[in-house]
Order: sequence, then structure tokens, then C-alpha cells
Amino acid sequence: MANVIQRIDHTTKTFGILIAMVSIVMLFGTFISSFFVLKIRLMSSVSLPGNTIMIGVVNTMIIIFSSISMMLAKFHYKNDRMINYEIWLLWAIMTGILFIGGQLLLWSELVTVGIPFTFGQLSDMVYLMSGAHGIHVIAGLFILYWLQSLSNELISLDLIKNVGLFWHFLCLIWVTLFTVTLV
Amino acid sequence: MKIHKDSFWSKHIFSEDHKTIGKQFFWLGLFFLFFGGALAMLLRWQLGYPEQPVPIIGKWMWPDDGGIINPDIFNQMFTMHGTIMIFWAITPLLIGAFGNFLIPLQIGAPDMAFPKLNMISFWTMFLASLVLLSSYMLPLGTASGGWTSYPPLSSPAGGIPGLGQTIWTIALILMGAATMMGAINYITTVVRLRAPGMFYFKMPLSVWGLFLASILNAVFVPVIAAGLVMLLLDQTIGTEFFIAGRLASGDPGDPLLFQHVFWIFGHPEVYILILPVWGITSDLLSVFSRKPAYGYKVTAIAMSTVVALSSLVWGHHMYTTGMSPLLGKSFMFLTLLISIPSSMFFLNWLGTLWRGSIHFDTPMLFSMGVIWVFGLGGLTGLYNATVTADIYLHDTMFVVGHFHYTLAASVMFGSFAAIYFWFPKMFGRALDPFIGKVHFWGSFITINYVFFNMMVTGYAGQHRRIYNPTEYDFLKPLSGLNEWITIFAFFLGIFQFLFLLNILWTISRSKICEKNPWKATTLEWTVNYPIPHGNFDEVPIIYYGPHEYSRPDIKDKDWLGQNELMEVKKWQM
Repeated sequence: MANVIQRIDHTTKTFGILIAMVSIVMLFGTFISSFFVLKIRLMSSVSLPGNTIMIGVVNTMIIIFSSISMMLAKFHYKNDRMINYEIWLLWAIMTGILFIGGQLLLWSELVTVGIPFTFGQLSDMVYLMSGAHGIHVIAGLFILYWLQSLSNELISLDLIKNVGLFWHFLCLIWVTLFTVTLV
Repeated sequence: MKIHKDSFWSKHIFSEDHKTIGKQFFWLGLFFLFFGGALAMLLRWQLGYPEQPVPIIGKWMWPDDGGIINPDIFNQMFTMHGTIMIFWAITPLLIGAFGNFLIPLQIGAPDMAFPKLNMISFWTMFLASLVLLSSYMLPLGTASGGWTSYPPLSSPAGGIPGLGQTIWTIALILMGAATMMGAINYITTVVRLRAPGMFYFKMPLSVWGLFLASILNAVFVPVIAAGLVMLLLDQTIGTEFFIAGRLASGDPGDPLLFQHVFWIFGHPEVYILILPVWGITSDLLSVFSRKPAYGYKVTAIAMSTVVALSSLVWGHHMYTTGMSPLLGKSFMFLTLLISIPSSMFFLNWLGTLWRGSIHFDTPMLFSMGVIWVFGLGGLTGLYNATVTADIYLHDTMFVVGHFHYTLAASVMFGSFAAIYFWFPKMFGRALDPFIGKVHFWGSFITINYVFFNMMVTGYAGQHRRIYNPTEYDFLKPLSGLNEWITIFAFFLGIFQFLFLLNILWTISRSKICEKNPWKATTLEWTVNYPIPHGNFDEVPIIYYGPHEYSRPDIKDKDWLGQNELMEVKKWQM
């Protein structure tokens, strides 16, 4: 037992995260495919009012900023600037929360302009895709919060890279979903 | 490697040890195998003796109907039989139990890559089981839309009353989550935690099968998860993604979309279930023929080819949905292509047996049984894959006979082979060989009678989900055959109780057996029972492939362990 080498390193964890990302891509890929199938069947597209698109654009900017904040946090940790690391990690969390708030605002705006949930297939897909993404972002926020609460001895660059990988991935998913919605 | 504190809870209930989790999946799968089997017996009663009271239990279970299975209950039975056997019996038994137990041991790893995730996976599956079973408590009963649960039938607008269908959907989403967690673990473990020298082409074919099945799980389970979430919203909140025509209150959705999503997952699912069996069979035939698996690399590559092709053939389940004939032909061509790699490893199995020193132990009998039943199941698949034949055979008992040959007979025989073979390593005791052989021959004869004749009734036109075949004049001549199928099905069921008795007897009464009773070469046979957490005292170093049997350069025994360094002297080479 004592001679068993610990081989469950961060590369192994990164690999596991990559497999999980493949699964998540398939999940959202199915939503996106379904969206297009319904769109072709209905011969129409989602006609989102200008202000809701604007909110969506702002939310997209926020999550991109959050992703960049995570990148900067990693950069500062790598260069041993712990205060800056903590500040940028906090920014990533704050902007992540802001993104969720923005998405809720987007939903309420949709309701206000007369496109509530169960209004029609395509708008329902918008709710579903943004909702499913939101659940993943909330899970990501818990992970970021966990990272932030770790003591310095338990943090490593590999760990930050793995958390960052998932966070950037969620940003990319949203950018894809939002683009699909606007097509 | 972290070592657990050995409290009762951490050792037996919330254990992170892959072997304990494997055993938990084993018992869960076994419970549901008998549960789903009991449903099958009741279904057969209704088909063999339509609208007659079920003997003994009938009046107790359905007193209002005089012990007769009514049509609603019949629909619920075939729905739950399919759902339970596929997702709650075979998946936990083969992938959950043997995936967990074998992968780390056979590749020389101390445990799964993510032990905690492994534990969560089992308990999510357990929760899914409770949710599924809870649907029986509902006033209007459990789901009854078939294991495929196509909308609109499975949505409130489609006519099935009650919450059973909704609970079914939730249970399947939970089960899917558990499966994905398992898949992430298995793939990562195989890719990252192989012992030094354990190259991909030195892995046992059982690991190959489980690894490839996990890839399919990771890729395609999310597809059905997405479809089920959409279905759940249709069932609960009032969206209409899959509702069209008069049932739709506004813009029409697309019921066929669900069928596509279902089968994009559903067809790979067939291979998810059978791939571990192919691998296990390939290994066991080699062990009990005392010679290397014929065409080992070809078998591994052929299995991988099937995995790739399996993602392109889902449309063959939908020939009758009005798809373009050109598209149907494409799906037919791709489906028929699968017979090429399948034939390759099938011939390799025969090649392994050829001139082998065959030992007819119970695991070998079941492995040879797989060759027969998978051969018949595979050949009849060609008819279903061909558009012209399938238009006639679609939704008949022929299809039921075919997929039971592959998914029930092959997978059950593969599971039994695995249980008889690895039981000494899982529980330290060997199952009784005499009862095992009676179990095999009894099952082999009855299972062939049942499923072959199901195909006969299907060819004669009997619909697969019909409640009472005798209500149709053209099916009346089949009454006798249906009765005989039912009688043989009951005997098949009785032989499974013999198997259960064997397990319980062995665990409670038998003595601990020797470390390597089958004289097998793979790594799991190098460790003593009970296997400690961490599995190996030292990281094993692998020198040979998994099938080093009857080497002419070894004189004192006919096998060589994968990590057994042998000094080959020059004069021997």
C-alpha cells in the first residue's frame, strides 16, 4: 500500500474535466439542434425586441469580462502576486453573479414584452437554453467560491487552471447560445 | 492514496472503494433483474392466457379485476419491464458492477480516478431507483408509454393520465446523470491510470469493452438527457416542444424530434450494453480454451469501429415514420456496414475455440452461449436493418425476439459468464459448478425457445404491444404457440431462481477459494481476497498481453501472468 504511487494528478483531473465538457457540449448541442429543427418546422425565427437583445449583449460582455478576470487571476497567481490574484478572482465571482442577475433581468424583460414561458416553441427554447446554461454557471460560481475560500497552501496553479478551464468553457457556451438565438 | 477510516458507513455504505461500489451496483442490478423478470412473467401470462386470472398472486394484486391483468396494467408492465431491464438491471450489473470492479484491477490502478464521484454516481443511481419505484405508489400507476415513451403518448395531452410518466422522466434524468459520472470516471481511469507497461493493446478485452461503452455513455447520454428535460417541461410546465396537430394549443412542435433525439442515444445504448459482453466473452473464451484470443487487435479495432458506426445508424428505428427513402437507404447501408466489424470479432471467437484445450466450466458454457445467441440476434438484425423487410416487421414480435436475442439473451449470458468467472474475486468464493451448469442448460434451452418463437409470431404478424392477440382472427392460430412460449418463459424464470439460490448459498456457506482458480493471466488474479483498498502492494509492471496461454516456452504451467517476468533463455527462443 505504501508503495502505491499517487497518480491522480492535476492532468488527470484536467482530463476528467475535458470529458465532462464533451458531455456538456453534447447536451447543449442537442438543445441547439432541436432549436434549429423547430425553427425550420415553424419557418420563423425568434423575434426578440431590441431591448432584450441589448440586455443579452450586455450579459455577454459581462461573462466575457468574468472569463478575462479568471485569466488575469491565474496570471497574477503564476507571478506570485497573491493580492492581485484574489482581487481578480473576486471580480470573476462578482461578474458571474452579475451575469446571473442579468439573465434574470432578460427573462423578466421577455415576460414584460409579452413573451412569457410557454409562449411558443422557439422562445421556450431560449428560456430552456439560457436556463440550463444558468444552472451550469451557478455550479461554476460555487466552484469559484470554493477556490476563493481555500487557504494559500491548498491552492496550486494547476487547480486554478482547471477551474479556469471550466469557467472559460461556460463563457464560450453562452456566446454560442446567444449567437444561435440571434441567427 | 488516501486510506479510509474504517467506520461502518464509510466502508460499506458511502464507500469510495471501487470494489465496494461495484458490489453495491451488483446487488442493485440483481434486484432489478428479478423485478424486471417478474414483470416479464406476468406479460407472458397475459399473452399466453389472455384475460385469465393470474394464478396465486392475481387475486391478491388485482382484486377489483378478479386477478386479471387489465390493459392499463399491461401497458405499465411492458413499459417498466423495458425501462428496468435496460437502465436498472443490465446497466448497473455490467457497467456499474463489473466496470467498477474490473477496470482498476485489470489495468493495475489503485482505484478509480475520482473515487468520490464514483460514490456519488452510485447514490444518484440509488435515488433514481427510489424515484422510479415511487411511481408505483401513484393512484393511477406508473408510466405506460413504452420504454421509448414517445410523445405525444407520454405527455398529458397524449392521453396517459396521472403522474407516472413524469416520475419516469425524472428517474431517467437522474439515472442519466449517474451514468455520465460513471463514464467520466471510467474513461479517465483507463486513459490516465494504467500501470507501467499496460499499453492499450495489452489491456484485457473486457476493459476495452467497458472503455468503449463509457465513451458512448459520455457522448450520447447527454443527448437523451436534453430530450428528457424537454419532455419533462412538456409534461409539467406546458411547453409543446413535441406536441403537434390538434393536440397543440399554439404553434406546433415536433413529435419526430423526440424520436430522433431518443434514437441518437438509443442505438448507441444498444452497444453500450453489449460492448462489455463482447469484451468479456473474448477474454473468457481465451481463458477456457487455454490459448490466446485469436486476432486480439482485430477484435479491439472491430469493437472500436462498431462504436464509431453506432452513432450513424439511429434512423433505422424510424423507417416507418415517413422519412425520405433516400435517407432510409443511407441508414440501411450504414447499419449493414456494422455487420462487417461484428463478423470479424465473431469469427475471432470461433478462431479462439479452434483447436483449443476447451474446459467446459460454467463461465465458458455461458460464453459459448453468447456466441450462439448473439449470432442469431445479429443475423436477424440484418432483416430489421433492411428497409423493405422492416416495413413489414416493424413493431412486431419479430423485433422483440431479435432484440431479446441480443440484449436479453446475449447480455444476460455475458453477465452470468462474468458473475460465475469473477465471483471468486468479488466474494472470495466460487459458485457451485453443478448448479451453474444446470442453470446454463436450463436457461439456454428455454431462452432459445422463447425468443426464437417470438420471432415466429412476429413474422406471422403479431404486434409487439398487443394486449390480447386472440381478439384478432388472423392471430388466433398462434394461441398455442403463445401458450408454449409462456410455459418456457416460466421455466426460464425458475432457472434464474436456481442462480439466485447458488449465490446466496455460496456466500453464506462456501469456503474461501484459492486466489486464481481459473489459472487466468490478468492482474486481478494476482491479489488475495479480500482485496485491500489500493488494490496492489506495489505498482504492477506489465510485460505481456492478457492472453498468454499455452506458451511453448513455458514447461511447468500453461499460462503466464501479465506482470510475471519470465527470463527467456537464449536456447529457448
